[in-house]
Amino acid sequence: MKRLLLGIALVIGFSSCARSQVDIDNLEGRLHSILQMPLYEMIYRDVIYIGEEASFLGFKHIDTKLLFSIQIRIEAGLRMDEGIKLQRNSDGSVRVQLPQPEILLLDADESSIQQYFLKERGKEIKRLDYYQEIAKGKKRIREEALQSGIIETSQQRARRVIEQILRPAVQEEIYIDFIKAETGADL
Amino acid sequence: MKRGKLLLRIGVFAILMLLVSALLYLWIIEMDISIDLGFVQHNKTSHSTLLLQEGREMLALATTEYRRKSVFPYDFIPEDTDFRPLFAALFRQEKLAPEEERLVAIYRLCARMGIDLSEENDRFVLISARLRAGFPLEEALRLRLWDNDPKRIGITLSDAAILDIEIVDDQFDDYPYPDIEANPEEWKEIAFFVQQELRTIARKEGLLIEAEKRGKAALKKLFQGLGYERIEFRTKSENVEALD
Repeated sequence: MKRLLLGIALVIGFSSCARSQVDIDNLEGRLHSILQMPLYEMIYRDVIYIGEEASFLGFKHIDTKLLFSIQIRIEAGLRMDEGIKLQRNSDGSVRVQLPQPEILLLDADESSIQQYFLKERGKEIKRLDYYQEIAKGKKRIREEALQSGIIETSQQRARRVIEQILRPAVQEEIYIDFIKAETGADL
Repeated sequence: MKRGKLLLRIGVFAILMLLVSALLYLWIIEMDISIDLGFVQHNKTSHSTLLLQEGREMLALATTEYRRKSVFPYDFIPEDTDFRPLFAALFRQEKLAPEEERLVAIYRLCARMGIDLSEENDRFVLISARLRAGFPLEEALRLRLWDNDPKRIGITLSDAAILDIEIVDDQFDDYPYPDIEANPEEWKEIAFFVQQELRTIARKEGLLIEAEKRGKAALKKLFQGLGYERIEFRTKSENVEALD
């Protein structure tokens, strides 16, 4: 009996000790130099349902239901932090070397949230509960956008845009190549 | 006497078993384990449907990023703020200064979230945000050349602007603080408030000035590569700024 009581005390003791230490660091704002050219974006709508029910000895003490939607934006473009390589040839033509377009942003737009219904009986829904679902949606969106050719579309657009920008300053031929970036991991 | 002791032991044992099963049940719920044993049930479900709404072309030059972590609501309230005189002034229907109106707005927002700022409170949320600033190029990026001066180029740009604000989406693994009890509708209000505040803070800390400076430097380098030596920038206000 004593051992059983000790076991219970240990379980309670462990559960109350499992508290993480708060260490809020580096809260101040920081300015960072970037050079990005967003070119194409796709906007998805994620409709999310979360429900939880729990009953003990026939007594239902948790009944939560939440249905809402949120827009998730995926944006692709050029990350040009290393700069653009430009070379004017002897015949006056220009060769432009651009990095491969990549995903620059994948963000859930909080301002687009639409909450259809919410039931919180016995437990309140917390922010991270639904952000876990949003994260799953973001992962699927990334795959879907890549499959539907967001990078290729951005590449075509990059050619058009760079040529449009440079055309008034360059009368001769403009050649545009894409090189694989050595640094800068994709998002 | 012996029977009494036995009954007592059985009683204590039954209570302990009930306590253990209750603890086990609480643990099942805490660990999000789905279970259905008739007398004990716990089910957690989630579904999500994705719809592509639109794909669109865009064009901007992002030159500066501003990152900030803020503790909501405390980072947005000056120390030793006393809300009582503000609400007394409101009651007397007096006009409040913009800063006072801002404080009343944050007080009301917190009240809707169940955070009472008039007393000690331990509810907070750490919000990481990224703001990108630069030039929206859809509206304006025009070049001007001079026939009598082939080394000179004029570049017309729109004014530097904040292009977007991203509230970094936290996950269980990377958010070690206690989570805030806010449903999506409430979180939308918090995020909107924080985005508005960060716009003001970032502007005050020189985000747009820096974005303009860095953007012009990048474009200058680009056109220098094409052989131009005199590069002039023109913004919406039509002021020519010679960089060289």
